[in-house]
Amino acid sequence: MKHIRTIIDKEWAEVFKNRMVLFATIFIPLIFIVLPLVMLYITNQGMDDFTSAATADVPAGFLPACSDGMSGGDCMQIYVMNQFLLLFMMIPVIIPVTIASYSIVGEKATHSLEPLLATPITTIELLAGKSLAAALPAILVGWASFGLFLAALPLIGVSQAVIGYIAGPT
Amino acid sequence: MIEIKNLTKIFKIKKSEDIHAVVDLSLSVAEGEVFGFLGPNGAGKTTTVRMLTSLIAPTEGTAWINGFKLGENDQEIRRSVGILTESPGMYERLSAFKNLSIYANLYDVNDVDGQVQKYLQMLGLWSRRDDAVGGFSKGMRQKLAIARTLLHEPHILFLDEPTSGLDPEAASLVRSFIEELSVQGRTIFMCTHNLNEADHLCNRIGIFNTSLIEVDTPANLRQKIYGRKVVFHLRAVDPKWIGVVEKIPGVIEVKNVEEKLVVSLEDPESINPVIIRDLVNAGADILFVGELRHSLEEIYLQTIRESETEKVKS
Ligand SMILES: Nc1ncnc2c1ncn2[C@@H]1O[C@H](COP(=O)(O)OP(=O)(O)OP(=O)(O)O)[C@@H](O)[C@H]1O
Ligand SMILES: [Mg+2]
Repeated sequence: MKHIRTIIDKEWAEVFKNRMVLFATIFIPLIFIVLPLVMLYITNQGMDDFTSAATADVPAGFLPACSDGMSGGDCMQIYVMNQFLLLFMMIPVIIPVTIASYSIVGEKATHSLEPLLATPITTIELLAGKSLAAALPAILVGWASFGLFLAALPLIGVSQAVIGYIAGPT
Repeated sequence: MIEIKNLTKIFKIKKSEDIHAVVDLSLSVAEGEVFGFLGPNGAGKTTTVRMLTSLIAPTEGTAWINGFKLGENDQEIRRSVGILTESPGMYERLSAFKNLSIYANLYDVNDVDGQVQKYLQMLGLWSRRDDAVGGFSKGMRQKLAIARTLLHEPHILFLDEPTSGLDPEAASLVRSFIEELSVQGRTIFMCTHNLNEADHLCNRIGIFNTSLIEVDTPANLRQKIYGRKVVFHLRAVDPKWIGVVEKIPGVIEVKNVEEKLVVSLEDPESINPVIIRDLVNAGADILFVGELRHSLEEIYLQTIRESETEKVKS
């Protein structure tokens, strides 16, 4: 366990001093938060003319997702958000891939793998340390950015129905 | 203690001939010995060290390190040896202290901070402990790598070119450090291209080029390859004195080189007094007498050349 902790500690200390990685873990999720918020804000402005779900320009197959009492605008937003929520799913993919690839390329380029492998660490501990070091921040950032997104929704005037849909299980 | 038996490494490379990097190496290095492993570029020295530290598996043969067998007790081997790799391989963005404390933790050192401090101070890097290694000079990195090798107080050290790329002062510092480690009773296996260094530091030397060519103490290698020679500096050389010396039993050859008689002989300690007496009796003025020491470099070059001509023949 101590070996795994040491590797995680080392990975974070080293990897997050890299600008590319920092960019990937902070800036990209930020874009993923801001983009749908802007989208929702804009749709909120000009959607009042849709009165019922049927009038919204949403693919027929999607209509059952909108409950009966929903306005057409809400239904439209739900449809759009469904697409954007996919982006949040990508955060846990993009971040570990960036961290892991940097961490391996980095070890190779600086020849630091050889002395590392000469220590009594087992291959399993090394791999576990590296994977955890890459996965933990991804999960954390994924949840944090989704939480931020949810918190910002009421601020731009999205209706309770839509928020309920986004926060609910999909 | 290192006991190597028929160690062989063949690299198989797609679409080209196999590389025989190490072939049938057998060797033993005693406890507390400093062993110098010499050989040209590409001889297979680093490959040997990698096998002995269980970083790569041998194709054939095996070795016992501290009594642990390669391939069976690799974990124990890694715990008991320290390796200075060919390139330092530091984490450039981290501080010197952080670099070492990572390794101290991986080696399960009890007092991590204490050991890190001890070796940073010993190698003169304590004042730079918080600086990122990326800004270190080559010599500072090498010293840091040496410190890293010692954190877990290993009994056996593998040093792959410990002084390469260092300025004369830093190299000399590293050399005296190695001497000190040897005094502490550690076994040291070092690869080097610096022959004076090997001559000065090593109890025994192996000259190696894919397989072992010669292995002995520097003194014995000298004798084996060149015999022993004594130089008599005279005020002037009378050609007939050459005959006088040649007649003395035990003398192999006498040459006149720039007013000096260079005498090849078997046992200078017993024959020198006879030569001196006979020369004085013959009327020579002897200014100095000294043994002619071949540098290890000459011995090395001679050995490598001989082995190469043998290769061509066979
Ligand atoms: N991983 C590898 N794959 C293929 N060939 C290798 C590998 N490692 C070493 N070799 C080959 O093995 C031979 C010996 O290399 P090695 O690095 O052991 O030499 P060396 O004696 O350390 O040389 P130097 O004095 O230049 O450091 C070389 O021909 C090299 O190309
Ligand atoms: Mg080498």
